[in-house]
Amino acid sequence: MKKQTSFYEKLGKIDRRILFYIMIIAQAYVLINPIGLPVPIEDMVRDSYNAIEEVPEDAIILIAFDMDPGAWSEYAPSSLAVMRHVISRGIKFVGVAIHVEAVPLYEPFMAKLQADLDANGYVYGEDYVNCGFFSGLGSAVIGFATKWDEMVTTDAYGTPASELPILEGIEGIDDFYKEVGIRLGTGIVGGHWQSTWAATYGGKMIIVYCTKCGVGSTAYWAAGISRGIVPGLSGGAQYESLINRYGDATVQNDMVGISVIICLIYIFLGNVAHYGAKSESRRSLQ
Amino acid sequence: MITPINIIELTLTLFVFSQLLYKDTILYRISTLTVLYVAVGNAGVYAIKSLQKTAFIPIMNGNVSLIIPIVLGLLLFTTLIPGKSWMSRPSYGMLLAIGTGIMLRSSLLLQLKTNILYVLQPIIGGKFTPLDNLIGLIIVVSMIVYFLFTVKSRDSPPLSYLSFIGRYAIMIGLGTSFAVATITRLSWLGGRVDWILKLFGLI
Repeated sequence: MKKQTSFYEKLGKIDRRILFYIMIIAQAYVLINPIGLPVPIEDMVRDSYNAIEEVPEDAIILIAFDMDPGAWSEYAPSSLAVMRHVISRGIKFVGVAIHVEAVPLYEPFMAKLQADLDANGYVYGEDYVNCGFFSGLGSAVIGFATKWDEMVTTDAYGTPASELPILEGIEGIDDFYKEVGIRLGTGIVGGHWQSTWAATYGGKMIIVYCTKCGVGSTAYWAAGISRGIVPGLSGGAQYESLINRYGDATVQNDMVGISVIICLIYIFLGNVAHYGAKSESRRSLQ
Repeated sequence: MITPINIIELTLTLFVFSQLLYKDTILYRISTLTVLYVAVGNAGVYAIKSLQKTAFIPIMNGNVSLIIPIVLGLLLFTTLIPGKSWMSRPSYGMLLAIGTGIMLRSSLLLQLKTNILYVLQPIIGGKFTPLDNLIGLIIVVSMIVYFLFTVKSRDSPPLSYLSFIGRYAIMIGLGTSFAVATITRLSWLGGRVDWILKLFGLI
């Protein structure tokens, strides 16, 4: 005779695909109809904002464009919010990358900022430059800090450094505004910037990471090695709120909030199924 | 407007989703392998371009000393030649020595500096609330005690209490890491959903 399946057993054996369908439909619904969940500002995000506000007008800051295609959807909105703030303040910036997968993402990322760059009168080579990718991870960062002029001979498009006014006179970390640098992107190579640029040579950075890496970097901020952290979409939503320009991060933060609630419901149901089935089998043994 | 690149991107996204929403299919494997091979190809091309900037152009400008690292790099490929792999040893030695040097100089410094600065924060003041600072201090101390394997008294009070707290602190830490990783993955999934909706003009 076929054994009767109990309610708890059925609950525990729900096809995982149904759970994914529910998740995707809920995410799509929230993206189409944003809820507007409250976004309390965390200190680490406010510190990032304040650090950019403090940058002197004539200063040049270093930006590490180490974005990763996998996590692009999570930190692109946050990175855009931070970069819009930098551009709105007219701060000159020099971009480099030590993460190879970041290279194809630079152009689409900057294309989203083109309107801001134009509105604030930015000229390529004078106010900002993309020096491209450098292999060597930690060794490359040491090179940037100590022998910039020998390392960076051209920009990413082959223009000699001597023809780019923004790079004139840059020989190492001391020629940048050391109190603020920005790390956009993955935690895979983030440690090299933290350990070398920040801890060894004293260049403080704002870290724009995905949520997972952002939480792991909190100690750097607490210890004063980093100026601030903008973790994932939540950080991006907070930053958009600070600069008063609401965009993708705010909408997608709602989506993450709903996804987490659904996850919690799944966990609750999973526990009900597990402990319910356990107590049932104990009862049947008695 | 939907471009050919968008169609490729959408196709690969749907191939990956097929594993999530249907089952492990050949389409899923095609998409993951495509991503892997594109990443490898991309890395190779940009590594060569990076060499051009940092080595070839300076060499042509007269900095001939950079020929040495280029030769050392080429020697690494001798591992592929049977009987000649010994020629790669100096290169591996250099890599190991430089890697260790950087690690000792910077990574170790970062870990020590960060943790020492974090623990030395005053309870009242600093970046967190006094309660957070206190909990942080207790967790750091209790976890150090938990890993004190060489001290016998760790198994008797009062150190055993701290070791007990340390064990739970590790469990909470790992649980939190898992939860945060889940949020990150959900954000990535939502990012693709957002991209598809935007592609079809739904948002």
